[in-house]
Formats: sequence, structure tokens, C-alpha cells
Amino acid sequence: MKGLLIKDLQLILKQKKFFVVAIALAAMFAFTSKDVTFGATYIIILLAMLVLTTFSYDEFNGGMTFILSLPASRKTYVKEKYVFTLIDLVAAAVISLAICSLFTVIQGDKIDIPHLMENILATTVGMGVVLCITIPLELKYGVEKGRIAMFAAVAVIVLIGMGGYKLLTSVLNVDLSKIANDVATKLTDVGMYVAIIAVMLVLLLISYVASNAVMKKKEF
Amino acid sequence: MLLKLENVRKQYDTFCLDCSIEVKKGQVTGLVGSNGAGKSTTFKSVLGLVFPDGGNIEMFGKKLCDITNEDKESLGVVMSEANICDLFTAKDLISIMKAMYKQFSKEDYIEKCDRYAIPLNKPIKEFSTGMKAKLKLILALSHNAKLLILDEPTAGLDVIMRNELLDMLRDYMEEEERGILISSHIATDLEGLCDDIYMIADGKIIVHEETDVLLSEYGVLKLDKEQYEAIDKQYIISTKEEKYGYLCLTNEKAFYQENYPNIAIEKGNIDDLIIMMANGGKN
Repeated sequence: MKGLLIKDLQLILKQKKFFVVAIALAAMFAFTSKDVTFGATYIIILLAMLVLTTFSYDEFNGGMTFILSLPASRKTYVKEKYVFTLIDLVAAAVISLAICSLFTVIQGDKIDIPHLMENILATTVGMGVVLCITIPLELKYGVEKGRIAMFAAVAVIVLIGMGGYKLLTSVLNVDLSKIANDVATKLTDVGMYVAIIAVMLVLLLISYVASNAVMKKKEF
Repeated sequence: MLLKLENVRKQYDTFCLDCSIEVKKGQVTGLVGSNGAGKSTTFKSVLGLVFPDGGNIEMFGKKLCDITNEDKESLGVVMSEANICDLFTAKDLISIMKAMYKQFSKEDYIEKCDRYAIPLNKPIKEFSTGMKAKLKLILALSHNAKLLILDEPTAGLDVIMRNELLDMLRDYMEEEERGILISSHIATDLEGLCDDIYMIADGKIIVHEETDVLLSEYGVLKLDKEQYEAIDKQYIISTKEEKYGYLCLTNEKAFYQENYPNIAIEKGNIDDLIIMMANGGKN
């Protein structure tokens, strides 16, 4: 797995121009909007999407055949992708925090750390959810069809969510906002963060199991 | 035994692979056949890239499903359709290979890259076809593999580069414990390298012969209609009708040389075998 991690890390580092442009744009957003949170969101989205570019490179020009002929089983490949996703998400959050804090200091503003942290956590978890849905779909359908399938899956999830909300609130008369408020008041800020990260990890685990099932059957 | 395929079957819509192949220690085994004959499906089955519908595959004395990543370190692979990400340089691959293979030799890899004019710092996308093919083979040879699986490693190369690659393989085979399974559509490459050759057509192995036997005992008889009617056909394994008469492939060239001194007999080679057996060796 170490070899595959090095491969993906090197692939990302090959895209130096991408990083320069990303940071330049984040700086521009920070200076023009006077609000670093948009820049923070932007950096996390870009860095998280890098995970998906490694799938594109793996798939291109018979790359998967080459990778699987190395001492890397299908299981190892899937495991590496999820470890890499976790590393990437954590790195995206840390880099975003560091860059945005730096810009704020340069601008001479006071850093609103809790606000920035909330924003970073929400975006990182959001991107984590997107990756959890996209990775198994890209493994099953390939990069291009996988992205289309991802949008379809998100649409289905949104429809189910809306349908469920309607069912609970209108038909079963459940007061969801009251439940949400109750939970929010019972949990401390740290507890809320821990709960969100725990949900994220469970989603990653489900996605990992699904990806393994896809790879087990896939032929190259 | 390094590799054993026993009645390995794989069914596609209009194609069915059903083959048995053995690669022994100290031997180079060739797999020949026309395009679409089943060579790549055979290689992919061995590498676990496709799942056979039946039969057994054993590698290093273990069933394929029991092969671990550690076992795969003893395997070197070159697949014509498998490519290394072309953003990398040959130098980038060192850290990846070092993490993948315990026996990867950085010094040997750099020395081979230098000897075969592979630039270390140039992205692979800027390499010529020949350089890419050489790099793939250097990688397969860089970690002291026991078995090489090579699918068309010389495809698209000129004669000089092909010879360089074949020399690398001859050097590799100096150690007796090693073996190679190789396919190539260039018959002369295999004739000079392989100890035995399997011929595959329509997914079936139709000939398995030692290369020496194939070259010394196989031959093509060129017959007019009268000669064709007159000869004993018991050693004819394939016949092809031509404008002037018949071409007949025999595995007992000496029999016809002794008994029919007037007929034209050409020395057998792998190209003849492929051409004559293209329809499954039907008479």
C-alpha cells in the first residue's frame, strides 16, 4: 500500500501549477471579499477533488492493468484510496486553515477561529460525503460515467431526503426542527464536531465496503 | 513449476478460451497466435485481471486465489496495453518500486536505464515507443522476479530495439530458477528465445512443441493437385488450398523428404505455423 500512496502523492505533486493557481485565487477571494471563509471552502473543494484526479490517471491508458500487475491486490488498491482520501481531507482542512489564517493576519484583521473552523469542518465533511458517493461509482462505471452516476446518485439522495422530510413533517407530523434544536442544545460544540466526524467515518466505512464489492467483481 | 494453467475457460459472447499451459523453471515458453486468438485473455487470467469460468491456475505452486502481494513480488509483468502514468519520470518510479518490492535494486535499475539510454529526469510522455517498451521491461527486471509474464513486449519496436530487449531477457535467464511466458507476433523473436512454444487459435491450444522440434521437424509441403492426391496424408496437420495447388503443414518433414524426394519442402517456422493453423488447423 505504501507504494500506491507514494504514487498518488507524486501524482498530486506533479500538478504544481494547479496549487499555485488555487492559492492565488484563494488569496484573491480573501482580499476582495474581506471574508476568508469563501477562500477556505474553495481550497478544500479543490484539494478534495484531487483524490478523483488520481482515479483518472489510474484509469488512463491501461494504468489499472499496470497497477494490478504490481504487488497490489484489488483490496490493497481500494484500501489505499480510502487512506489517501482521509489524508487528503485532513491535509485540505489544515492547509485551508493555515492559508486563510495567514491572509487574515496579512490583512490585519482579527481571525474568527470558531467561524473559520465551522466553515472548514462543514466543507471538509461535505466533500467527504461527495467522495464517499463518487469513489465506488467511479470504480464501477469508470471516471466519466462515474461522475454522471454521482450526479444521479446525489439527485436520488436529495429526492429521498425531500420525500422523507415531507413524509415526517406533513404526514406523520414530526417536528424535525424541534428535534434538531434539542440535539444541538444537548451537544457541546466539541461534541457536535465529534458527532459529525463520526458520521463521516461511518459513511467512509460504508463507501469502502461498497468499493471493495465493486472491485471484487470488476474485470480489466 | 512456475506457472500451470489447466483447462482454463473463459466465455465471452462469441469467443471461448479453453487452454492449458505450463511454464517450467529454466524455460522460456512462447505463446503465439493471430490477433484475437486468446493470448491476452490468457495473460489476463494469469494476472487475475479477468475471472476464468473454470479450470485451475497455479503460480509458484499456489492456487491463484491464494497468491499474496508478497508472492507477486516474484512476478515481473509487461502487458502491451498496460502503461505507466506518463506524468512520471523514470526517477519518480524508484521510490514507488522501492516501496513495492523488497528486492528492488535501485543501483541495478539506474545502471540499466543508463545502459539502454532511458533518461531518468524526462517525463515518460516524452519517450519514444521504444523507450517506453524498454522502461517497462527494465521495471519488470528490476526486482529479481522468478517469473516474467510478457505480452507483446517487442510490439512496435524496430529490429535494433527488439534485439536489445531480447538480450535483456537472455541475461535474465542466466539464473536457472527463473522462467518466462512470452507472446509476440514477431516469430523470429520467439524462435531465437523460446524453449517451447504453444500455438493458440480460437481460444484453444492447437500445437505445443519444443522450438527445436518445431524448427527441425515441421515443414511446409508445396504440392500441385496430382502430388496432393498421391501423397500419404497421415503426417499432414493442416492444408491450405492455393492457386497452384496446396500448402501442407507437416510435423514429420523427414518422412516426406525420404518418401517423396520430388516435392518441394520448406523448413518450418512459427510464421508458417500461424498462417497454416489460422483456422484451427482444419484440413
